[in-house]
Amino acid sequence: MIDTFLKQNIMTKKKLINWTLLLFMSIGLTTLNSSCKKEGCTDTTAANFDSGAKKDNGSCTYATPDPTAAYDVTGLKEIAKGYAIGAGAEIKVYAKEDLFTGYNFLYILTLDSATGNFLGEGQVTVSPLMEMPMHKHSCPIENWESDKPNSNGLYENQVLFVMPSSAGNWELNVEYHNHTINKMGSAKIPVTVTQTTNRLMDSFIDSSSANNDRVFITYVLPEKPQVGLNDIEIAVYYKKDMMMWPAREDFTMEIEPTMPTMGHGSPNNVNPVHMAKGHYKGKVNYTMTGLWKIDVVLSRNGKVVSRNNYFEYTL
Amino acid sequence: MNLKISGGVGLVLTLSFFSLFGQNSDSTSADTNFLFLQLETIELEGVKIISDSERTNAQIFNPIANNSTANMDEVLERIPQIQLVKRGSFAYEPQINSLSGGQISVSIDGMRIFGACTDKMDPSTSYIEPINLEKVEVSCHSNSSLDGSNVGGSLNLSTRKATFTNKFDWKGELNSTLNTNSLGRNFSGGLNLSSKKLALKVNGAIRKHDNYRAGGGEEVKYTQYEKQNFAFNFRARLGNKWIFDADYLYDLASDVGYAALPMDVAVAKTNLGSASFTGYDVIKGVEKIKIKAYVNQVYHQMDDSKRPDEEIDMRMDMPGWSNTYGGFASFKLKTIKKHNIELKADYYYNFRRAEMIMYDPDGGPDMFMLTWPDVVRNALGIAGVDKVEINTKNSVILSGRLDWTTTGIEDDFGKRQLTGFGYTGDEVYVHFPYSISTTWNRLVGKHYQLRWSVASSSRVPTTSEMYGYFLFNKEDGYDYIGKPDIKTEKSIRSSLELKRKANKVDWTTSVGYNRLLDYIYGVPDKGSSAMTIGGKGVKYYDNLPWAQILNFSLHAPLLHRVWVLNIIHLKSGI
Repeated sequence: MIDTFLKQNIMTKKKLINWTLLLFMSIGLTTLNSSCKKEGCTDTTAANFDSGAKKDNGSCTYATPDPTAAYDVTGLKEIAKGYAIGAGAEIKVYAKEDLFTGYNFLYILTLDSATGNFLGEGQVTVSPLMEMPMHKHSCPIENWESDKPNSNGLYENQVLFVMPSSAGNWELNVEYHNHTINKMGSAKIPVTVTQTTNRLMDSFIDSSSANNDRVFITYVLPEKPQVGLNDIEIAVYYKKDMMMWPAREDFTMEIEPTMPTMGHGSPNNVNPVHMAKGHYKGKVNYTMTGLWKIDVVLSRNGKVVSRNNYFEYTL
Repeated sequence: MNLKISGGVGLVLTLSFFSLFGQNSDSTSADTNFLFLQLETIELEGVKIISDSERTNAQIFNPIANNSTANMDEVLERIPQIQLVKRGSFAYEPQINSLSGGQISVSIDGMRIFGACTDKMDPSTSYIEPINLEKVEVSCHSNSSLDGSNVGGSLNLSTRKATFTNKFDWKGELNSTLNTNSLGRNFSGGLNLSSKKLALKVNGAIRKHDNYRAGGGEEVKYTQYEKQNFAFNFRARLGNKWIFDADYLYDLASDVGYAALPMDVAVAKTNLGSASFTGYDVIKGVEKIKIKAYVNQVYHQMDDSKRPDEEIDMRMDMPGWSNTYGGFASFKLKTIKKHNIELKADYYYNFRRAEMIMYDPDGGPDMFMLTWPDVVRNALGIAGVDKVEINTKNSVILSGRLDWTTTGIEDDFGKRQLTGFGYTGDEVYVHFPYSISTTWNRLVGKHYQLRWSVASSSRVPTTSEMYGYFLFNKEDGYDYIGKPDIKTEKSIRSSLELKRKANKVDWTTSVGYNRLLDYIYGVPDKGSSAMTIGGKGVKYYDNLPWAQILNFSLHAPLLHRVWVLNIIHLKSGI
């Protein structure tokens, strides 16, 4: 019984000691700095730049350019790779996690196939393809439109994989124009898509459309949702033909998150509205951890088009 | 008045209402002289009752006289100003004139203690056993500012202290009773070791009750409880002006059944420790100084581990913690002309956390939320009371208090939860609750006493009112959600009391009016669905423009009985 008292006290004391240590250390450091106003490397671009140095003594050293320094894949997982024949490039596909049925964020890295050096600018176009016993089809894809990769040297391409690899073979056809040598090539990269435990996509037949389009909706998750108020992004596409899966921008959307185990919802949600390219953004409030079901009702011109769609996510 | 107590050892139970007459202010004089009184008498034999109606039959107010192992609920039950909210067979929540929770201040030996149960099932009073108890001080009118900011009154439990004797001596007592209707075995005991300079008092109680059996012998399931309590007081004289006190109290209730709920209390545990110095005539003009530092830690766990599967929809655990660290310094000045002044400065830090974990009966993922998200409050206050004895017939009590409190939350998960309600969770709220009051006492004729009080005060919102997160209230079936930026509740009140004191016919009648502004109340929100299975909906705490409470009471203790008539009229001003 008295142990709990002591533990608490010890913990606070430890904290105190840490702070005091820090305080003393910082005092020590400042005195050191101020007492050592002498010669050193004064070039700010040098690897051994000394902010305390007053006079340059010619000791500056410069780091040799690292070929990997031009790109950064920390926090990402290499999913697959292939060679873009003709463009002299190796194409590496990265993602935050294994590919899954739903909206995936792909990060494409292009390297010189001979030297392995990072290739600066180019044009990357990804076309996913599902080969099934009887037929082939694609799925919704959003390609990086710029010739310049992002600040980490990666091209960001998003794919909505509409089925898992168990149904057939998924392949990414990556077309690459290498601006350095001005040549075009393409790589066929097989990938594996697993069925997620979270239900992150749904589809329905849009009977109010001229061609009875099959519409696909997906829960876009740039980051894992947390308890509390989250941005919710839902992307909507339709299957125009086997290879064309454009965005649907003309829906109005209502969402309702509920916990099926408990039978309750949550307050203060904001229905997503269309932003651009079939992406709808709103707010969702997850009041606790556990399994959440997000019901989505889609309407067009005030008429409900589809009512029974939902996502599921376990926090 | 002497009453026989088992074991031949007496104890003191004092019910004082602070509202005594200038000339015979027994309560206050008893308080200040008590220590010296004890120095002379070894142990008080019998029971002394001090209340605003002195001739009120002691038998009625003193359950211990009839039953040496009466529990705390039975003690509180006898106090007319206190109503008890019963949620189970044990640990009733006290209310003063139907105000409770944050509206009244509850303390033990002046130490603030806050329960760790979000459903108020562990009021501070449940951590005390009558064997620990010296007196209960209830202040239901306006002079409670020394005990903390409140809008309805205060309740302070004073524990028993060791007594000094001229030469080494010891005294002990042991009591046991058996309740046949619940096979309740109650044991209590105490030991006092004393000498001229050092004294030690140890007491405690053990209770074990099985399920209650109703009149026809029918067993009421989930009414069992077990309790262990141990209190320790060490006293030392330091010179002839100072007395040092070290106190420690441990209380553990376990397996407490709640027949009306789908859950029981598995553990309710508290540790209370304090050290204090009391000085007499140390500083010129100051009669008594008291400096005290204290710590208390409360743990409360509700679960349904005793319930069979078929009785519950979903298993859940609800643990809660409440830790308070604080101190105070009080100064009782020597009488200056007609003024008896007491000043006090106090501070406490309180930390409260409560979790709720729900288990999917179909094996799905567990659900978790923080019903109190590491709520931290610092409260610093100064207070003063001046009792002016104008003449033999008239006296006036003036009192005032000002607090400065800061409240915020520390847990990141809890902060995330709040983002769903329009807050970042990093906000720190500052409140300045205050209290001012005057009470006028007048003796009318030989047998009548008249008292009139006017007060204005405010109180800081409670943890639940600010940060409660889907707290289910069984009484109305709603889940309650706090409002972090809720305003303090203010009160303007007045009461008038007339008392007749005669040899045979005593009665007290009072009328009181309490106007509460920014009244804190749960407002139902139709758009939100209840989290609790079977719940009716969600209520958000908010400030209503006003509410009012009108109460009448008549205490007529005739023929060893007390009739209490409390008419309460509550109206919300929306």
